[in-house]
Amino acid sequence: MHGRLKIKTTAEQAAEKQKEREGKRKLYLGGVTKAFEKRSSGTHDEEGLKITAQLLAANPDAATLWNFRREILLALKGDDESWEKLLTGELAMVESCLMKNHKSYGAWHHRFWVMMNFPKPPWKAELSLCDKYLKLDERNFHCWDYRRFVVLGSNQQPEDELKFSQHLIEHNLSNYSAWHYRSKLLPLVHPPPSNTPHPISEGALIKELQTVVEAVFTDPSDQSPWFFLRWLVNRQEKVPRMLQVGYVRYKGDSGLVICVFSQPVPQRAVPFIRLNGADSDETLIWYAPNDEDYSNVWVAELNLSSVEAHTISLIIDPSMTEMLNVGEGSTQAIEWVTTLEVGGEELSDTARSTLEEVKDNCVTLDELDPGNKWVLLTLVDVMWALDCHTHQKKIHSYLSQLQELDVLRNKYYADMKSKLAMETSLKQYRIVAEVGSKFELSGHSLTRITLSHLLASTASIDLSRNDLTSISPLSNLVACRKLILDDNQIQNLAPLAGLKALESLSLTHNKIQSLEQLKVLEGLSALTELNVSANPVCDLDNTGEDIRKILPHIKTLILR
Amino acid sequence: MEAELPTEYDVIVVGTGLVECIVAAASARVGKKVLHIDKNDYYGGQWASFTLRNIEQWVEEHTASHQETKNTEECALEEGEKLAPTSDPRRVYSKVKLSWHAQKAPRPSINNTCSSEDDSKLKSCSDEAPTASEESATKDDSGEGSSEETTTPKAETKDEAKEIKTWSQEEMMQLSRKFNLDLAPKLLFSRGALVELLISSNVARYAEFKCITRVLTWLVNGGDEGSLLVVPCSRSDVFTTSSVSLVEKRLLMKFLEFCHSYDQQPEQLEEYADKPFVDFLKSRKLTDNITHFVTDSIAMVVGDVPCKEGLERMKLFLTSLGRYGTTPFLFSMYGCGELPQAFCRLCAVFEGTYILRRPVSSLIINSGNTCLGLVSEGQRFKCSHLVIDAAYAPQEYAAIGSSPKQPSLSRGIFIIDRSILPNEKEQLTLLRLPAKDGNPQIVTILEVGGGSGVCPKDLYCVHMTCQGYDAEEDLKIAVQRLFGCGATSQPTVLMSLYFNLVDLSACDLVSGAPTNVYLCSGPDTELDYDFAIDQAKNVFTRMFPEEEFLPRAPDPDEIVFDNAGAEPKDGDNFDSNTKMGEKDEATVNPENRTDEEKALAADEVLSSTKEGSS
Repeated sequence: MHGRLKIKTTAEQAAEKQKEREGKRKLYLGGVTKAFEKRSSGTHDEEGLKITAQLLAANPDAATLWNFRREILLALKGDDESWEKLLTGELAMVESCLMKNHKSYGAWHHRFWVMMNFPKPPWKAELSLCDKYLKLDERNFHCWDYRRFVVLGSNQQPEDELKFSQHLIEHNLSNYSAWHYRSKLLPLVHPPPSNTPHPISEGALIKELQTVVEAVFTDPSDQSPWFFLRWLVNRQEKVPRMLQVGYVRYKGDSGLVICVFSQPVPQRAVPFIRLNGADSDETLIWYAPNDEDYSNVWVAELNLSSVEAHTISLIIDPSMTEMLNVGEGSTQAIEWVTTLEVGGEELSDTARSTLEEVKDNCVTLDELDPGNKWVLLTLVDVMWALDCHTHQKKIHSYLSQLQELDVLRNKYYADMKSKLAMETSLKQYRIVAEVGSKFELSGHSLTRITLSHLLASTASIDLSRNDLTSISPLSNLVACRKLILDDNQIQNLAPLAGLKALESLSLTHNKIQSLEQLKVLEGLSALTELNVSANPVCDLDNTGEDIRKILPHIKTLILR
Repeated sequence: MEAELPTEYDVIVVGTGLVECIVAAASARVGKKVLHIDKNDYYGGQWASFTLRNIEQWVEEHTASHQETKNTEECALEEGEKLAPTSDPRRVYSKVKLSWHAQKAPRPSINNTCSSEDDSKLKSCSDEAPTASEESATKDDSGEGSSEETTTPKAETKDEAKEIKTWSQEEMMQLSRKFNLDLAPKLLFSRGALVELLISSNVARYAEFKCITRVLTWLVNGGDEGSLLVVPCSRSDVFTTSSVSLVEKRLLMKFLEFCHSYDQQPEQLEEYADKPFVDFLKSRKLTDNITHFVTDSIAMVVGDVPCKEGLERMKLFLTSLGRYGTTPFLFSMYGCGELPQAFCRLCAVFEGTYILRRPVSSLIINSGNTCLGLVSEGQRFKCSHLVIDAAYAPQEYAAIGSSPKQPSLSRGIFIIDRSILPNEKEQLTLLRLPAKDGNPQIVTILEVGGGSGVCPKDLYCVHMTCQGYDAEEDLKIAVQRLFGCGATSQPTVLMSLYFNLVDLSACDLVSGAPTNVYLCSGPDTELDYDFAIDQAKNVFTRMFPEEEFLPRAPDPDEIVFDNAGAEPKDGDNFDSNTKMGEKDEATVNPENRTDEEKALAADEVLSSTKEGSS
């Protein structure tokens, strides 16, 4: 028979809980005191293990107790067999702590320590422990870290791990950690041939794209697969290429040797250049115009009077020597030994058709689900990769849509538009223009200057009627003689301070407020023409005189 | 004990079917004095689950002649009282037919039962001489392989990974207790009425569940016979399936997302409010392929139902999805017969009295057509309300066999030696065969395996249910499709059981009976339990309009037992886990223990078996 039921009131329950908690608190504090006493007296015994085990089971985040526990363990370490037994017990103990808090730093750290101390670590069991905790919380980064450690130790093959990530993704396509893990494993299992810009081999790329496209069709609003998809279509040049090398004279015999690279490189990457005719191997002192450690453009001063013959030779690698004529005939001579490629390497046919397919799929998706940010963003990426010039209009309109959809990142998309405008017109410019000629990109609402290193050899540049506020990338325009920056929002001219070839600078309708802002131009001895009309600085008294004072080289100064 | 049995009750419940049990529990829960009585020696009535031996017995009872010699019991009646004799509850069943297709005894040359893990009796024999019998078993196995290659064509194409055991009737009967065969197999929608009731009433602690792991469909492509396919219903299904194209994936997901919250966008529906569901699907540009999945397997309707109904069904399916598993359904572990019992436990905890194996001969009715109680084994029991299984009820209250023809269910139970669509892991499968491509009726098919506690490991139990009057005939096409005519890849049927059952769920059970007699129908055709819950709630509120229906029952740690004076000891345990507290209570009151161990709150069970197969 069941006893007569009486149900406790909530007040009774609360009081009971309170009492229980009070009791536990006392026990816990007592245990901590005892453990600390033992530690300060240097007592390392079984009892210490027992006390810390209980305390840590209740609070796995007490790092000091873990430390003490490790001290005891090391003190008790005996022969391999007993040591192994002790450590096996530790694994069980840590797991009980993990059950309490599966994101405890202390517990996971201890597990690492135990495994590293094991004579023969039980790797296989640890792998299934990881499976278990990643099932519990698929983004538990402690467990992901631990898994990588176990995979390394157990010699688990990346192929198997790839299958594991596949399994997780199939279960939940929002598992960002699993997608990311995949992006780390794929290059190991399917490495790309060294000369391709793809992250993985083409065969794997096609397969992976197929899967991820299915994921984005299933749920286009989930960002995890999109990140993976964008990683797949993103092409990364592995080895920076030297795009150009040249010489520009800026005053009399003074000039600069210029090296342009496809990616920012450190100084040590600049090839050795020997000055022909000079008996000694006069070394050039390279510096980056932007004063950074890594730069796309490296320049070195070279005074022609020190070079007897009018050629210098350039040793790019032992098998390749280029001769560069810096002869007298060309007073502003720039001779480029390498031609410039803006878009990087051409796509292979397979890669192209794969990308085309992704593009078509995204277009379909955009029709089915108009206004999805990730679809548009990926379309931008893919079309850009295919050919930013032919798709320029489309890309531009997608970016405009994105600006409306994703207001918080409005400026980011504006920067993308600027990059698009720069890249397409640079491509066009390189196709039609002669070396050293004029580059013009005015009235494009540019907010940002990109790829400025590709203009390092250009003599005349017009970026007027844009929205530029910062012009720091313009420090790369080392060969520029005429620069037009009218109708922008520029205040700071410091990036122009190193443009030694600059002869004419137009800055009308900007935000130059003070003489100090102009003072940075004082080292430009070639600069003879300056137009600062329609800037706040013009409203000051005696502006003209003051400017001439600080910039004595100026011959033509326009203020109004 | 019987001598002391009180004879006056607030409520007497006759029959232990699900509806009766819920009413009994609800009544006891609010403090009513309840007597729950059943002539069977098992719980569940038409909702019961049986072992193999018991189902044979049940079949025997239901195939024998129905003419029971009714010994009208003597009972002192007062003036104006009359007796209304109860009916034989077997009257709802007909065309019961059990057939064994497995061979009678294991093949003499093979002693393979010794390797069966499940057979405890034989295991003990192998324990005695483990090496010898194991050796002989392996020898036998290899011998079997070579002999089969020559004798049966099956062996040539057999699955390399897993050899299919040949079962015999004898072997199966030895494992009789491993079977829990449902008379009325049903599923719970994870957000359906029963799950909510189990949680809100805290009856969930008396039950365990498994998630249905896949929903299958029969897809006929062009002119082919058709084949089984997994229905992509969850997001991960849609992602991984290869049975829909890329664009279809998007269309399907979009449609599913829309249905999930269709009632929040009424403007999109106006035009289709009264039009058929299938027209609405067309307006959404769904392909034929997806339309098949959506109507037949997700909404589980026929295409011409009104749009609103279709969408409601979609929503029920989708909101239930992902609560506990990758499909919206739960299956009661150890068979559906566990559910009535779970409610009985609650009733018993709240002092309901139970007597099984106790026939009720008549109800006592006074001149004002009010029921005063009943007569059982000559003893008179008084009550204010009488709840009775309609099958038991006097013929004049619930007529059966009357014209026009009453709706009836056709049922089939099959034990097979492998899944209808084998998978690496054991699956719990729901399949709905639509009434097309030659199949006369919509057949709801459930396949459950050893993991759900309804049959031994490696065997599967298939339940088929449809509307109809001749089970064997009605299910013919379904049986042919799934079990075929012995094609090698298809399962072999070891045992089959057909029966028909009168469906009283749509009958008028109110107007025929006295106002304080409440009839409860047996199982209906629907997949879920909503109808039963509604009926129970309805009966309860008719009896006690002022009372709350199944308020939350207290947990053990909220209950003060008379002998539970001792505080739980803290000992060295700092853990504040509440389960510990429960265990303390369980040791204090050993009677509770078995229940305690079995009873885990539904959420706990389900969180630990998230996929239903871990």
